[in-house]
Amino acid sequence: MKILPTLDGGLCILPESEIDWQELELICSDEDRPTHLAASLADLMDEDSEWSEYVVPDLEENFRAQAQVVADTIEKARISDDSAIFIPPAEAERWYGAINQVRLSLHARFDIEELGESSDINDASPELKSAYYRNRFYLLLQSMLLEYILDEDKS
Amino acid sequence: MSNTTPDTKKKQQMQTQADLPWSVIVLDDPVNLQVYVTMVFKKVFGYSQMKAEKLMMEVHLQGRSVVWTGVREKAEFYVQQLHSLQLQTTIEKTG
Repeated sequence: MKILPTLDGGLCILPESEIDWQELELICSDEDRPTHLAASLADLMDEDSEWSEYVVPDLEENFRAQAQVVADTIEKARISDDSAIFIPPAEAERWYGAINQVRLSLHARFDIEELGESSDINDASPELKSAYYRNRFYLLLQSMLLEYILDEDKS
Repeated sequence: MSNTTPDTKKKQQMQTQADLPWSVIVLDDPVNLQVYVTMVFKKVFGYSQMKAEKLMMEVHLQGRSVVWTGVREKAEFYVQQLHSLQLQTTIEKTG
């Protein structure tokens, strides 16, 4: 997979194999993820704030919209002739958010941090190893979104 | 000699509690990138690069940082913004 900056200030992802496509499609594979994330953030607030009633629905909608933009863009690129996924500057924040959701989910389900510090990744279970490498790929994509689009001090 | 009734005293105590400032607290997490957290503090609060970086480092090294203090309504407004940007955030009464 190649990720390149574009002339309009965005990024272009060029998947080169079926695995590349799968890794990208997994960004928005879990329909319940926005609900779980919004609920977990609400757990940080006290009952007086009535967060679950007034804020969670908006958060959930926002997180769902992030995942939807990514899903639609990938689906469109899958059926197009050049198979290139374009992330225009206007959609970078949504892409970043959708990727953050999947990274939060991976960290909640797998002990990725501990594995990252261990020298022997080969001993890990296939599921953990897959989560580790997926997290690394998503981290790279987020770093590029920040460097080339979102962080105005750098771009 | 005070002319305050017990009821008035209780009301005054409750009012004082409500008037206490509230702190917006950002908690550390294993996912959000340092550059992103700094960028969010600048965007949401209008902080300088230096102040935003200082607060981000507090979150990273101490596990939490008080990023803003003021009335509850505005504190909740900021928390809502920070939650939408996926930062683990809560509020606490100061003092």
